[in-house]
Amino acid sequence: MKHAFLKNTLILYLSTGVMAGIVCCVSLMLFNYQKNLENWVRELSNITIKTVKMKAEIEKMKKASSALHDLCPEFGTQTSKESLLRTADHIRHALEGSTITFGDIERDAGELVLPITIHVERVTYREIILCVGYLQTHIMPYVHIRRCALEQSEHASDSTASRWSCTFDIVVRMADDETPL
Amino acid sequence: MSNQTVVVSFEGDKVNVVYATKVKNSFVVDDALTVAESAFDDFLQQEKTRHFIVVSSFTQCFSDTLTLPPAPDNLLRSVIENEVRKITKMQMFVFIYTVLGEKVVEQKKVKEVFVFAVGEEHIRALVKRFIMKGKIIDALYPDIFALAGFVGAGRDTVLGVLETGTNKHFFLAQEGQIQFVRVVQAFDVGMRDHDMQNVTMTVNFCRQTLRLNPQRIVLVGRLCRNFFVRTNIGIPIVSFTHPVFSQKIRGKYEAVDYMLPIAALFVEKKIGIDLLPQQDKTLFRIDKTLRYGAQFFALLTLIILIQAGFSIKWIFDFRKDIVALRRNLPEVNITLERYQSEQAAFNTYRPLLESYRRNAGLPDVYFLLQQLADIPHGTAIITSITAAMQEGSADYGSLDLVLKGNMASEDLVHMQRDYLHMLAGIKSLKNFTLLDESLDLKTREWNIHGQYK
Repeated sequence: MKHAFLKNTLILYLSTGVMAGIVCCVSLMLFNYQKNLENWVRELSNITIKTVKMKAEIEKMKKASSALHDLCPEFGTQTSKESLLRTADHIRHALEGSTITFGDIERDAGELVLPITIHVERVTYREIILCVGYLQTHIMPYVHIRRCALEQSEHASDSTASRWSCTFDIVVRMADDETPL
Repeated sequence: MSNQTVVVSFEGDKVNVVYATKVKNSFVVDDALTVAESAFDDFLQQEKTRHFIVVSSFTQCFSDTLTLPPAPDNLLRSVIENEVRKITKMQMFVFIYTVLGEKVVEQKKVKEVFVFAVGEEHIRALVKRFIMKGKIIDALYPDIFALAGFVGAGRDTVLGVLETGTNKHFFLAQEGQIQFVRVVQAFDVGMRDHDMQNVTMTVNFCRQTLRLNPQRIVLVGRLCRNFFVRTNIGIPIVSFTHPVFSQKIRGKYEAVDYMLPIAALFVEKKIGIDLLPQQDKTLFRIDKTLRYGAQFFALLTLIILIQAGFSIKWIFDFRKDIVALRRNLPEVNITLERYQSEQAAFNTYRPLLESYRRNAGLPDVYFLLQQLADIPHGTAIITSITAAMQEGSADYGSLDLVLKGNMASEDLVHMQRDYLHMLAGIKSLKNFTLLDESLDLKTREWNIHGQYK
């Protein structure tokens, strides 16, 4: 009698329990699938964002390449050594009349390095500034001024007329393309 | 969940049923009906309510006042049980008791206890009818005990008279607790002269044996109306009534006939007059627990289904997003190819860019020389400038600057003033740090050493 009384309740209890279990499993599967899709969407969104960023980067690189090309049109058309010698030539021509001593071309930290010593006599301070300006702007970015020593050789009451002797120790550096020297 | 309580009261050959709803501390009777005792099983079959409070008048019961040795409270129940078993020879029974007090008999202290016991087979027969129909009994009250709290409330001692069929139940109640019960068979319904003789005998018994003096006789239910007595017994006789008992329930049933089930509504569980055997209580508790479990699972299922519904909605949304995002994928490949080719083209310029970067980090000799030219010298003459790049040291990227010269002025004060003026100008140069300086007043030569970044 007692078992019969509890039978229906027990059946109800078990059936709701099983139903809850099944629904729980199905829901978990759905939830899992939802999470996978969510991750997929996130990945695709990241790819889309990266694509947009890449496009912006492409534009930036284009502009930068174009600007660098405008600055040095001959860049990349010659070997490193040729470029180095061409630069040295530019200096030689520009500073004609000064004493220029070339050192040996060496390799240093992935670069070709050419030491040059320039000595000028009886020049005004303004001429020295122009010379430095030339080296720093026209031959940029290859020239590094390591040392400059100015000595007043003739003093004048008007300081702009004073004469100076000047020695520049410079190096011309160029990225090494590893072609034989 | 409905707040409705259903009380079933077995009263002779009829069963009164009351449907009531609890409102705050009171009850509102929604419906009432009477079914024949023989038709009660059919009624239970059709009744949708599962929980019932049952009131029954047990004709085969044992009720007596026992005189027991003064046992401690925790052992009293066992003592009473043994005593009842000894007297009635019943093996299985359910009982309720009331401690009437202690008194001294033959120089011994004894405890007087009123006991009401019913054989378990009688209760089981009643409970079975409900179990067979899948119903649950929340409580099972003997009729007079249910009524006692209703009728005998207050400090007075009263003798209640209740009619069940033709039987008359006399019960002595004090402060709502039954002190004594007596069931007397009668020949006619209603209160008649021979019933009054029984009342007189009962009152005398109460006075002599129990030493309790009923202050009034209370007639309950139909007895209030069926009163055919001419004898005066010298105790006030009152009717237990209330205006509501004069009303009709749903215009059909007279409330006075439902006094027992209505009284059962107000029985508090703590007074302990429930006769339901422990075994059945356990059975009903299991059923209740299982049903709560089923409700919990059903609720859980509902919540999970709602969650699943949301999941499905989100899945559809995500799938739409994925379709939209995948449309752009071919463009991604093209963009990636363009990026790689553009990067390769740009990489050829990287050494050049690196040279520019490094150059930008070095001190500007051109600017330094210009600034030196603009410094007010006064009578100071710069004869030598040496700027050397500090490479391979912690000060990499700075110029070691040495300035030398002499003073044209021969006046020492003027000389000193012009020198300091020039020195201040040099010190004010941006990115210049003075390391050392000197002016020799004898030779008029000066020397300034510093660092320029």
